[in-house]
Amino acid sequence: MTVIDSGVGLIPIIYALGGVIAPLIKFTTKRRGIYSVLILIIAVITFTLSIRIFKYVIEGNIVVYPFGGWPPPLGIVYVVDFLNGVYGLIATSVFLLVTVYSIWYFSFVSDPSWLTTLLLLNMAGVTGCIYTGDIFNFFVMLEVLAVSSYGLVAFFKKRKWALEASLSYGFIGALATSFFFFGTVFLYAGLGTLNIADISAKVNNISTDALSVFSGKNFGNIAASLAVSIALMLWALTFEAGIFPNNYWLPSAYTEAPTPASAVFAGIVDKVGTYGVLRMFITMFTSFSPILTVRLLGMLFRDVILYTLSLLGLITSFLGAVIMAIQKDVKRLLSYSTISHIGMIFMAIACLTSNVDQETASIALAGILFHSLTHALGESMLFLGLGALSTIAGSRKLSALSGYGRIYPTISIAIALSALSLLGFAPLGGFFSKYTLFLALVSANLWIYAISLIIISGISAIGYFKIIYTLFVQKPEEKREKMKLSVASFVCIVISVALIIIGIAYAQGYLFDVFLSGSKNTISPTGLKMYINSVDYVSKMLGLGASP
Amino acid sequence: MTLSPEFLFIISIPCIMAILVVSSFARIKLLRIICYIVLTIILYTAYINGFTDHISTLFSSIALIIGIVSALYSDKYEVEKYGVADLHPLIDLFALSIYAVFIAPNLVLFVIAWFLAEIVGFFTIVYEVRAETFRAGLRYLLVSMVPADLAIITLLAHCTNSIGFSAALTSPIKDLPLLVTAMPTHMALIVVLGFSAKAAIFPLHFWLPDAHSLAPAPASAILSGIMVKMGLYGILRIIPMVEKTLISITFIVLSLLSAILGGLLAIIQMDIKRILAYSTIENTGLMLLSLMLNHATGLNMLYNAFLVLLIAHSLFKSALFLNSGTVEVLTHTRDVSRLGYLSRIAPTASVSAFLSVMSLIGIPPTIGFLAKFLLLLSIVVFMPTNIVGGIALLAMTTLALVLAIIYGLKYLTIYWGTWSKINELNTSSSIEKDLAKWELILSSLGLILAPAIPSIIHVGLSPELAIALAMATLMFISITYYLYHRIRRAVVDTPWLGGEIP
Repeated sequence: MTVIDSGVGLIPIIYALGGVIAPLIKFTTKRRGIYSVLILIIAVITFTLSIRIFKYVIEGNIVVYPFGGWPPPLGIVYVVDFLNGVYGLIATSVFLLVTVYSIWYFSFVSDPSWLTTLLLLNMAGVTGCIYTGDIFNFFVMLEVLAVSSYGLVAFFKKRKWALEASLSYGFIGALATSFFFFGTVFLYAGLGTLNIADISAKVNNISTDALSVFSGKNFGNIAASLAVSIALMLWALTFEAGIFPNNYWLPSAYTEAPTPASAVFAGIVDKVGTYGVLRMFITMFTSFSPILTVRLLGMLFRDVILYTLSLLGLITSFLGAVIMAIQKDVKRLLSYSTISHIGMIFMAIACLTSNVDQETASIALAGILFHSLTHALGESMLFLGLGALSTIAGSRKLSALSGYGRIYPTISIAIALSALSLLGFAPLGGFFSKYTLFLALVSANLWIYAISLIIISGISAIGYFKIIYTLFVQKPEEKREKMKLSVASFVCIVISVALIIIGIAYAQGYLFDVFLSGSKNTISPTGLKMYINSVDYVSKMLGLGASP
Repeated sequence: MTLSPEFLFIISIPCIMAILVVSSFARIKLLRIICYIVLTIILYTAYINGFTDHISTLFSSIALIIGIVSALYSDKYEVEKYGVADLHPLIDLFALSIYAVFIAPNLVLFVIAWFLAEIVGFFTIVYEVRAETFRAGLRYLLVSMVPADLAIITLLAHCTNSIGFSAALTSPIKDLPLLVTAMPTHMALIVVLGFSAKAAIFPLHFWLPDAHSLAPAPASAILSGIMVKMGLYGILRIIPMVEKTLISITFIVLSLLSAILGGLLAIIQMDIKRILAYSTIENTGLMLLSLMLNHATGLNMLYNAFLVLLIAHSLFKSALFLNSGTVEVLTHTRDVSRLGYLSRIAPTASVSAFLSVMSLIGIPPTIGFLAKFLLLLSIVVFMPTNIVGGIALLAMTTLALVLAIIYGLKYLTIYWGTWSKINELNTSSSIEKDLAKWELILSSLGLILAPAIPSIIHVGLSPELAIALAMATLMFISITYYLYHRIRRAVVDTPWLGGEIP
């Protein structure tokens, strides 16, 4: 079923509007609390909107919103199926928790207005990327996201390392987004359209009523241009996700950004790259496409790319876990942990190849989505919690936090819980998400990946246990007066309780069924047809004047 | 909604455990003991009502006994050794989490309890905050925890593929082999290897000596007495799903290797806790050997040998680890070459050590004797089926048992005689009494339970055998009583021990 809901379009616009309002407030009042209120209101509104959309989505609907009433391939259209419904919900909910935390954090920042602006613009970019149904709009939103991220990384502009991190991120990021732009150019050359549903219809040879009427014609070699565009776009997407050859910028950028921004980066922004890759290979270039039948090394072109991506994921994950074990800086340790987890998610992409049956592929997708959720919650919480502690300690060194678990028990227990969730201890959510990934890899007979997944978790255990050991076992270095941490502790406790509840609900089978049936829907040919048909339907209604 | 008795059983155990841990933090000793007793009652009620099977009940009883003794021992030990009072909650939690692993009725609770036990195990190992304990803890994480987790997750994945996601998590663990199809060989290899890492079997054994010797003594007692049994418990649960030839032969070879390697390495250690740690590797090797041999041949006697070995080893090894803690508190050293004649100042501890070592080297009528007797007997019974293999097995097993005698006696030299000079020590004996009475419970259980073994492992007992056992027990008790009095006298004797009077 197709649902037309303006909420989808509203989400990025509300974020962007908030971002514009924030610096204007500065002219009217000097009160700092107003920014917290503004950002909180926006986060609550967008969260409720995304919940509403998610509700439509799990009922099996596809939510479409055409901007300006233009029929789809001509105008920008926002399309939400299960895949981006989940990612959108992850993004808005994590951002809601980050904003609650920001109430506490803004008192440590000299000028919260710009931080508010940048955070909101970043979220506008993220939600735009996630909800959009148009590749060119994806590129624009990626730019919004990237530019605001450079700003966030360089927020403490008096620190030379922040500037260095921002410059290296900005330089390579600008290159990567330009690559994405060239990718879209090649895509347009090959297919004559940039609408995801239209691309999918053309690549998979599904006939449409209205989309084909408004769509352009191709000029050039379809297979070659598609291959080039895939290569170029993947460069940008793996850059955002922080996959192996493109991961060098990530640790310093995540480390130097203000804590709420780090949490947003680790929880949400790197999921955009993951989402982009999934969208490319689940909706656009599927395994049942008749066009992409070029063979490389005896394998289908798509399979070669997916195996390469998963191999890169394996390398990334392994590197992340190993380097994480030797870090002394808390935030740097956490950013390597992020790298490791994104690598794990990419490892499971090997289950989406054409050799693997639909059932296993949907388990893999469910695992990827669920792991994205638990990782987003756990990693953001670690950034928030340890960021709060290191703000108090005045140092990001892990050794400076020794014994803080005894001084601030509430927040430290929450930190320990989410570290254990990331490590994968039952009954926390992280165990079941890793387990689902493992299950998919085992069912697809990819034993090397499956065993590597557990070994990598084991190596990353060194890093997580180092945190817990420092907090709880070691003695405090000196007596410090206790500072107020109630808001930060509250957020951390909420997230860790959420992780427990998610884990139990998943073990009970409720959540597992939701994820599995949603993934099955998304990955199957019928789901793909539904995606295209709903956009086609909207196009028909708007462009050809057919009655609904 | 009516509450089923099974649900009550599942819910009551975490509640009691929570009360126990809270009372442990609040230092209410009486409540702790009551909770342990209630847990025992729940265990047997559950057994009578059929919620848990024989294996679970046996393993969890051992866990409870060793848990309560180690926890009460640590009350005194923590004050004497560290001057603080924050070790016993950790020990309580550790023992309870392992108890929960054994009693867990379904796979999801098993996994949760397993992970809890592993985390708590890490924190007991790093209890003494030093760089080397942290290294030992990390080695424990990488070599013991990761393979075991891999085994568990593979097991879960196999069950999920076989009977579905929710069913795999909630179906009763005791019926798992009936519900689930047989494992493919590569999966079975991963699972058994993973669990055997927890039991410190040869290629993945090297985490154990550091971890067990650097942990506080009550923690070592639990680590060695019951935690390594978690791996064996896991193997025991999945072994009906495993194919018979390849895996069995592989692990028979590996367990023989670890038995002999453990024995040889135990002989050359000079640290008493490291002797005991390597001895654990040897003994788990023997246990896995009998289990795998039983799986390959189907000989029931070997299974009995496995169970008796397991009970015996749990009791004497945890008693000995507690004993090593007592020695450390009294003398501030664990070096065998610097210890000797401790029986003069520590009569209770020496009796306990004597009993445990008797069980370790297998003197009748201890459980250790029964275990080794059963093991050798069943290998002899097995011999006609495969002459060459049987003789090789017999020779290797005997070698391992002889090694056990050597290091067992070496351990005893800290009480009677020494390898070098005598140390003069002045320690009040009240500390020794307080500490040693707990280990004495375990080591004497190794003796007292010996007649009860046939009923514990469900084997009929012929009257002749019963009388013979009873006679042997009586004789042993009288000899021990006499020895004890000798030792008491030795305390007041002149310290002349032969040779020239200094």
